[in-house]
Amino acid sequence: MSEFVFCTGRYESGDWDSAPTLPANLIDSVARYTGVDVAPSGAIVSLASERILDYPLVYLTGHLPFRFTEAERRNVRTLVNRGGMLFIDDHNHDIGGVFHKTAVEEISRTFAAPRDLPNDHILYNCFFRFEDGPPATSHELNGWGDNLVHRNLQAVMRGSRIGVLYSSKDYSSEWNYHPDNKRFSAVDNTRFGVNIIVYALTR
Amino acid sequence: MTAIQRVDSVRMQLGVAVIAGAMAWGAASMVGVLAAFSFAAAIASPGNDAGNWKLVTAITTGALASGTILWRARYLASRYRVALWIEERLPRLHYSLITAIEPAFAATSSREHFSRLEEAVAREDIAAVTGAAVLRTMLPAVAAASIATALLYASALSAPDGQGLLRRLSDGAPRSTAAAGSKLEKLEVIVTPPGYTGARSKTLDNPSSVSALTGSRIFVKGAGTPESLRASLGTARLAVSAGRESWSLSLTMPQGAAALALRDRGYERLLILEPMSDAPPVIALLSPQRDSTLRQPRMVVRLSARATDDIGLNGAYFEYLVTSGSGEIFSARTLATPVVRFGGTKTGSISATLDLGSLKLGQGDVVSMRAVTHDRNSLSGPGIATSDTRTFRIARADEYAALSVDAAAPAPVDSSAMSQRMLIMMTEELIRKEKTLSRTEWVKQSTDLGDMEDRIRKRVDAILNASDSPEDQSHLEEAGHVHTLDENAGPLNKDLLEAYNALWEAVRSLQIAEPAPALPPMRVALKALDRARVANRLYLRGAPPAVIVDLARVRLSGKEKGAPSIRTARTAADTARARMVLRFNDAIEMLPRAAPGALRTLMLLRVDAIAVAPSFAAALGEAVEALRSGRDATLSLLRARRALEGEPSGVPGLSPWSGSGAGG
Repeated sequence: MSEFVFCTGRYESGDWDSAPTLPANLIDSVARYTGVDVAPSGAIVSLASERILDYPLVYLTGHLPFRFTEAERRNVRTLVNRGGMLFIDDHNHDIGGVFHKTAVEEISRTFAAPRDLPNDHILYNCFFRFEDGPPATSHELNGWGDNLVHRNLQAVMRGSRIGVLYSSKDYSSEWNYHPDNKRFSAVDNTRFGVNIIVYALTR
Repeated sequence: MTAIQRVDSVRMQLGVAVIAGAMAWGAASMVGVLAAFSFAAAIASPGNDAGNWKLVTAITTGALASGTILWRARYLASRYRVALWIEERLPRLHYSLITAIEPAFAATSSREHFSRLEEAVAREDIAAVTGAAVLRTMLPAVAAASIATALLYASALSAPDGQGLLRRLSDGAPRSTAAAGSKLEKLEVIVTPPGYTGARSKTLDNPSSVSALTGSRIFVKGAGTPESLRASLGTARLAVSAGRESWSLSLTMPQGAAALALRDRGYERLLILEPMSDAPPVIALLSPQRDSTLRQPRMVVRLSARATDDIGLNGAYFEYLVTSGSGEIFSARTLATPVVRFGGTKTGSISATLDLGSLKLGQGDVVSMRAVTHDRNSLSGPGIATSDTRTFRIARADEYAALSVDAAAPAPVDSSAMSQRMLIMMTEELIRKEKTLSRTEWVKQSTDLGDMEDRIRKRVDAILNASDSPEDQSHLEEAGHVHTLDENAGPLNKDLLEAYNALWEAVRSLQIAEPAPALPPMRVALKALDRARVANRLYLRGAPPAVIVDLARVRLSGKEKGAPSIRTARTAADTARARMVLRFNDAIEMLPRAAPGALRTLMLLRVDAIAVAPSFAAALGEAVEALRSGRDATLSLLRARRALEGEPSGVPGLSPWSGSGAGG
């Protein structure tokens, strides 16, 4: 069995690399808490390339308007249909922001309209237990962005499995720091990222 | 009096004596037990008594004593037993009394025989025997009750806080900080504010705290002679004067909060002195509102200012500072207007005019002006306040070319800036109101909207041409000029260009009072502007940093074993507020057990809190007052705790998180 490589998807529109240290942080968490055989560094793969189909989980983020090119749309659709999972996070943490509006439009166009994921979904219990659903980020609690604490994540399901997981909670900001700085935190806030990876690898 | 009547009389006397004796013994027992407890409490743990069980014990002991006496006197219920009691003490009766009260004997014996028996009974002094018995019963009981009462009184005096056990037994919260019987029980405090305030003296009846201006005279008066009275403020002793059946002392309100301690033998009472300071006055320069630069020193400046003070204003005036010169040589002269007297009012206004021409100003001279006021505080003042300074500068000739002379202030809000969305809404509203408007009004409103739309068009044009100058736009405004892609050499934003052309069309329709045809191009312009807003961005990609996670180190499977140093927890910061929280908690804990001590602690805590935590001190003052008057102080104490520790807070339903990434 090959090792898990965390993949950041590169797309033509917008700033796909706005959370550059997030992959290393999640890789650190996977190594710290699980026995998953994980690669020490992530991969950055263009969505227009068919190499994207080699990765079970693809992470996308950004602040700017989000549009797939035809090649990108074709590849991500194939990825999800083959059992892969897209995790898209709005780095603006603002449902009135351009990323949110355009990303939701693009997801609806490519897959289907994302719907609220119930807060008792197995995603919240598959490794760490999150009784109240998706953990709030410090940006939400500080009233930045749209000044809302988003109660649910959205998802496009493929059968009983999550094909596209969409977050407007801005985990990209919450987890975008060097993993060595985790020692300053009383509670590791990347634990939910471990759940996403474990879910993508096991479902 | 017959023999039967004599026996009944003796029964009555003995019965009364026994009941009185039983009550006296009961009272003596109860008071004696209380005195014993009081002495024990004073020796063991002064000021730390809880009284209810002791009172119950004392009452039970008294009831048992009374009951025992009454039980032993149960023979009084029987006339024969009483007759036998008399026969026992008067043997010469030879049972004639028993025989005389026997009903069978009275029925069967002759009258003569009966008369002899009565005579024999009458010869004996039964009353003397009865009186002696009553005295023997009463005297010890009364003596015991007196001794026990004396002991209890002595125990009350010996108590360190002067309260004694009786006081603490009576209730959980004291009615006054001074026990009954002390010279501190009833105080009268007369506060005389400083003379400059013009305020009258006020009399406070038995207060727990005195709040007054710093420097006020405080006269404290109480009943009784000044012997055994001691008064101190901090470490300083105060002299207590004798009056006519009263004592008094006088002091000046200190600058900081303090407790006036009054002691009379074992009694103590605290009087909190809460000084208020005379705040300095405040003055605001209302006119001129802004600084300015003038081309010529020809202007009459109108000045006005408004002053306020918490006690009373004395006067105010304007002050001018004229600075002349250049380079390193400057000269200054100060001018002032005559002082306007306010006569102690709390607010006042002054106004003046300054003719800059009269100051003989030259190029580069600067005139600074401000308003000054002072209050009537002759004790620690006067408090002086000055307003903001306004400056008027005379421009130099050589800076004229580049000088921006802006005497008028900009409008606080640029209400001329309208959004395209707002204009669409206003146009729709105008169309809805068409039937209600006259033709003239209709044309005017449509034209106004056209003018506003034209401003947006010009803004768009400025962006397209990267120029704001009207000269550059003139070539576009000739007869409905429309942009095309070919006319401009530089790269054009297609969305902005579309918006510009749609705006032109809308402006034309609006300015000829046809708003309905203007709406479609207005909406087109709005969509185009929205597209341009999100589309016209530059994004330069950079190489993200390569962070390679050291998996062996993360999984603790590497060679490095690690030798952490010994870590010790730091102690919590010991701030003044934290110390006050501890003292407050101690006092609250002590309150049910030893209310006077707790009250004293709370009052001293309030003295310390007045300067550093005024809201806590205020709430604590209410609590102290409630405790002193025997009212429920729970709410006041709760407010005090909230003021000291802050409102409790919690965020239910949120997962605990910490740490943060870079802002997005």
